[in-house]
Amino acid sequence: MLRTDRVFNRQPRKVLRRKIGLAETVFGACFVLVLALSTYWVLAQKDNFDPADRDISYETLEKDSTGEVLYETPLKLWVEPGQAGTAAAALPGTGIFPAAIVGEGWSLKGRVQVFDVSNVYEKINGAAEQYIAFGFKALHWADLTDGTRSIAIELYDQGSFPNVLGIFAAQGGNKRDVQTRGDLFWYRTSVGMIGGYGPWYFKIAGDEATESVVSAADRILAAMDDLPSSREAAAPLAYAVLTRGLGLGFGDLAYERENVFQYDFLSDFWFGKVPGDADARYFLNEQADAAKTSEIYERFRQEQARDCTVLDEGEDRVVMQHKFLKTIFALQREGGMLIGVDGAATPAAAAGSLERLREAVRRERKTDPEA
Amino acid sequence: MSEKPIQKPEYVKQPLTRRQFAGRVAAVAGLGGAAAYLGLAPEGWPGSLRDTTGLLSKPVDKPLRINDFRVDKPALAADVGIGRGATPADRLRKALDAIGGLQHYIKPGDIVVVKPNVAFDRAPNLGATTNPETLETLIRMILVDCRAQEVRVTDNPIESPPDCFAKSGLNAATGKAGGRVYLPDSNAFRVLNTPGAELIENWAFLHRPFTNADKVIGVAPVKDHNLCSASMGIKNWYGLLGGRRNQFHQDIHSIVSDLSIMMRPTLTILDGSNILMKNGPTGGDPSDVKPGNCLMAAVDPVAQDAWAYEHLLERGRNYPRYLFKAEEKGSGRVDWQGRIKEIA
Repeated sequence: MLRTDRVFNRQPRKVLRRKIGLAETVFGACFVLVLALSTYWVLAQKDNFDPADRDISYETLEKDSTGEVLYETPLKLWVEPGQAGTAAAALPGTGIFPAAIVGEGWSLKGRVQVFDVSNVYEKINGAAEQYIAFGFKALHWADLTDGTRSIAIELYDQGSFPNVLGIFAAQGGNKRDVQTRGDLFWYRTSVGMIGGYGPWYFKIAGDEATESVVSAADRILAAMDDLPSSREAAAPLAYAVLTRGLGLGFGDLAYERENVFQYDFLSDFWFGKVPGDADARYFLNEQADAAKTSEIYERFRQEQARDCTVLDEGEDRVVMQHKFLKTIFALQREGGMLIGVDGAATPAAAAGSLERLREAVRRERKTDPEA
Repeated sequence: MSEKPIQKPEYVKQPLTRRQFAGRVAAVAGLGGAAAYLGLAPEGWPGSLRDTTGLLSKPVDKPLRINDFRVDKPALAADVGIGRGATPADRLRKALDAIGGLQHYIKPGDIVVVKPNVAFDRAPNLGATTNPETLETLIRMILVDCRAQEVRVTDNPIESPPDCFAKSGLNAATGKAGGRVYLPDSNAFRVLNTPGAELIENWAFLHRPFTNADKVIGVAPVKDHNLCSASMGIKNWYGLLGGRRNQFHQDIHSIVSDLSIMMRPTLTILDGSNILMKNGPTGGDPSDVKPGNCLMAAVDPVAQDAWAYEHLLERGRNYPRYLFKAEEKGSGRVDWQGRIKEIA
């Protein structure tokens, strides 16, 4: 049908109805009132709200928090064809940790978390700097639970064994009753233990000193020497000589990374107190090869001779006395190692200590022929 | 086919003249053109609403200022109260009595925010977090003795907030005492303006729990700290910051002194029940935690921290630099002599 109405109505807002019902009028008035009140409420409310109304529930946040994982454990470990059974050191779920940390009723609570230098502050803000100063590379964190109690395992990759000893000493571990098993060392706390192995520094801490926590911590400790450790990152020969070879305790050890004896060409030296002589100390340094050892030996000998008087000198060995302190310094070249004694009271004492040190080095070399 | 009847015969039809029609078409075209200009004109042209960079529509957060929650202490009351006793409840009551009693500071109907230190996902026995027993006692006192309307317990821990509140035992303690834990989420922060602050003049702040709050109480443990020697009452407010706050550890003394002016609390409670003597702030060995029988309540957090540093952490008078900086910023006085009252 042809539409005859005009396109535009000249009086669009004019109410053309002759009657408007009472109900319609009342409703209109109410509607306007509700709109006005709503507008007033929105404007007046500003910050005056009950924050609980806008808070996300504890349960929701808890659910979300477990969903935010920084480290996704691979679903299945790759096993080279034909080598099944040899690569089962770590099952999926335990990450870098040996699979034996779980079991006997204890299981992982959530996933293993991994932090590196860029985000470790998210876990240990305020404490991170101390670990970073000692070569921190990564933190692996696992929480275990048996349903009632919990145990947290902190595993710090410090990059090298000296770094581990450094952080261990910085946190006062060397003053504790340290126990060792091979390259693994630790001391007990009431809720677990703190120690190191190769490049790993670990803390095992339960939430309460119960029997179940302590026995689970023992089981975890037993698994710690299954952690991966390369030869470069493992305990060096010098450490083995001082601890196993000479039987020195942790409190008697020291390590200096650089500027040793205040010489810029000397670095990476291990020291150990000589028993029975408060001022004397052994020192050891490993070099890459015999040629490098000879070069360092020669330079070290020449520098020391400026302040000392040579008492006895052989092809690979020199004994000197400090011109002012009158202490005895002995230095020997032993294959790829520099060994010596500093601060001895007499030449005889220095010679005896040096001989014990040399024997210990030879014994440890036999134990570990690759060293 | 019959003609369709007119349905609204009461409507009066008015014809439109050619001039009127042209005028209306011009008006519609003008409006359409103006809208097209606003929407399509290149960015930077006058009146252009184009926003290819998104900067035009970037929300502008007006910095917030929070109240000064301090309350004048009663005449003759000490600035710092020390309570000694067998239980945290006993110690807390004595410490509060020494500064005039909790009821002087918290009035019936008040909404009170309590800020414990829940920084780490650690068990209470490691001394890295506020003692749950102390928190529970304090909440009960606020709700029962002072008849406060509500107690809100909040912190923005470094690790997962629910895990930290759960493992530290502070969630359970709060629930048992009748308080409510407010966990941070991304919408709970607002930019806070702190005039005079060196590092956090405008910085993200966990604001939501402070909405309509009348009083604020900090409850902190006494801890060794790797970077600033000690983490006590003032350092506790660090937990209200958001954003990439870890960068502040490069200038730890400035940030801690800034915290002393960011938050002007009603009271600061310092709990010497489990003192983390070394390897703080995280700890890890219960033998680093020294049990104590001392609890402090103060209206001067600087003097309180100074006393605790000397007597609880046993570090002598070589106070951390941040205490002197806080004093320079007017947050209190390091010299606590003559301003302490101890009730044993």
